[in-house]
Amino acid sequence: MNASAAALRIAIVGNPNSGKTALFNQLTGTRQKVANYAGVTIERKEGFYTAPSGRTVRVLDLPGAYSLAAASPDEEITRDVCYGRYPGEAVPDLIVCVADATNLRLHLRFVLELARLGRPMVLALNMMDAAERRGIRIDTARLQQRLGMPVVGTVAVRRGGAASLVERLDREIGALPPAPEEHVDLHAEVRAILAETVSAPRRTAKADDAIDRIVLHPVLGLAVLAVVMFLIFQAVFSWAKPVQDAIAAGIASLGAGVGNLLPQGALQSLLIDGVFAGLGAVLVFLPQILILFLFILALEESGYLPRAAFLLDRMMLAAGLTGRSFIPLLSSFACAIPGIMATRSIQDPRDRLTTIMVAPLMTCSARLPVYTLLIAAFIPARTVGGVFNLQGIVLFTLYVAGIVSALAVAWVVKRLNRDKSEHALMMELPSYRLPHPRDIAIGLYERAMIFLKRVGGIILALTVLLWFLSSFPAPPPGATDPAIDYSLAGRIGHLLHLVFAPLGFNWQISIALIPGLAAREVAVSSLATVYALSGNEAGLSAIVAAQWSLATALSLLVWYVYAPMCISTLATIRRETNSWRRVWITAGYLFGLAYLASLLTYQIASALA
Amino acid sequence: MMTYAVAQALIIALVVAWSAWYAARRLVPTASRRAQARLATWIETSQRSAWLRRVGHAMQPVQTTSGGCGTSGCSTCGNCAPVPRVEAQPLVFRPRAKR
Repeated sequence: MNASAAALRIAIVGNPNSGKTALFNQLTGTRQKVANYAGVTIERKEGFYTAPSGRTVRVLDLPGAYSLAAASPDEEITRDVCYGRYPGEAVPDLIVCVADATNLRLHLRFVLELARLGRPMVLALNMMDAAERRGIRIDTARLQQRLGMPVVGTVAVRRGGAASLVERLDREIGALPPAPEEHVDLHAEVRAILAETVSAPRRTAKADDAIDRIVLHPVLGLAVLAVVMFLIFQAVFSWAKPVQDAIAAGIASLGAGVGNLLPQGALQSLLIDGVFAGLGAVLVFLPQILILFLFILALEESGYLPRAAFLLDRMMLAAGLTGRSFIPLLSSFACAIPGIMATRSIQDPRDRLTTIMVAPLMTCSARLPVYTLLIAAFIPARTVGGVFNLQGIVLFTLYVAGIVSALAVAWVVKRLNRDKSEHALMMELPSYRLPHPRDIAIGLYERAMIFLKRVGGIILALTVLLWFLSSFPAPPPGATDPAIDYSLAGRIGHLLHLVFAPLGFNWQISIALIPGLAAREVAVSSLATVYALSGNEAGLSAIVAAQWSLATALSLLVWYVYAPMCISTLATIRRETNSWRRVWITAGYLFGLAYLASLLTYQIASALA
Repeated sequence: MMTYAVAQALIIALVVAWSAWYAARRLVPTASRRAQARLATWIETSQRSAWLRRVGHAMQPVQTTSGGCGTSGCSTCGNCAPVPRVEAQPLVFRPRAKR
């Protein structure tokens, strides 16, 4: 018998940031992304668990919604599943409605709206620990009676925090709640229920208000945001160095050991010049990527990000975006793909399209190896003002250049649009939370695994292919130039050089740009392989420092601020916009910007040198 | 020495072939799946021997509704999983009502 067909089907529904995905992870044992802001889940997710009675339960985690009158594409998924209109998805047997126990004033309205569906329901009062800490007392028995459905307290972020819900679901399927009549004002009904069942010393947490007085201040808040961002990039350079050196030394000695075991020949070259030189050049950037994500994960969990969105709303509005675009754009610092997908929480289609078009300008983590390679090679590792690391300042500047460019492009798109209407930002500011070390550790572990899988997967595959193209055909007898000049890759590189020479790129860089379209880190491994095959024994950073001019390095840095995104990003834009035209427009403008900006940078830097 | 040269050529050929196959699967999933299906069908034709037909059958790509990246919340383009097409959220522009 098909387990999924016979299983009890429950759907986890609720307002954004009520802890639905954390509860889903607790129930199913999965590790879906959770964070302390609204709009993390933008798709339906499915998982299973076996109840103590042996019954299989199929759990659907749905995007958060404030109402069944969907205002954005992610809310439409929730609405359609609840109404049984979602293609290939039957109406759930039971709705588990998750509500934030510290914010029932907002969340209960949706509970009452869901009750109108006439489906069996259970209410999970989540974050009960936070409610207790704030002195919020909830008479669950009375609430249960008032709503006509079982009410269970949960702490979804704590291990075992959903045990009572599991036990309850195993005992009874839930109750068919009495539906509020159509003419009833749900807000008034919520107020009446709260008056009977909840007592709270104050509506908001005292600590939140105190912190918000600083971080939401129009001047102080922006200063805090700038300092936070600045410190992140300082740390990326300052903290990673010792670990990077250790990794580089380990790879070098391993490569030398393997090289000694094999006789000279193509196989030895594949391993030394291809695998060890290429992958090693990328692998050393793992510590920097993890430090960057340490900060991003901590900020995501703390609840600070929506405040930053609120602070930047005015600036983003001037550029033709809204604060709602902030979270998708911030997600793009990790990778443009989840960033583009996160735009589903943007209600206005034109704001959404503009955000999709500028998301690739945010500096994704795949660009970090290129940036840090060039910065380490050309920018001296000295302190400025006795405190700041100069290399960190340059990295910060590159990130800022991406942000400013995105805002400028959004402004131009707004000018080109006939529709100049502006949309006010309505965003929920969650309560602050201390990041949980275990969650951060899991997040970092997953991030490291993702990076290592990329290194062992697509980066390895492309490095091997580039080694092959750079090694064959072999040079003719009596050839005097390096063997790579006679190879297929060498010839392609020299051809491409004609196009990229005005930007100061040599033929080695020109070759590396092509596999870099698949994944940007591959540009680094490709450079390492090409230089290794050209007979250079030193590390890539030393080769680059010795053989390139500062103007070339600056030009390449600028190229990667704008460089056309990877193929996966293009595929995601195609899927999200359902239009090849928009894909070509986005790729075209990014390529044009990259070429123009690099050309200007190189020509100006060369003239000044 | 001759044996080493043959083994070396064989290993390199296999590694390069795997790399090409892997890169194609990741970068152009639909086209590579289509090519794989075509090749498998060609091998599977009735004129071939039974074992070759079995190989062709095993080579048939697993049917999925969509390929490419995009698991929500994955924060990366590195751990992709096939996503059912029904989850796509295309942008739909509707003319605004005149104000």
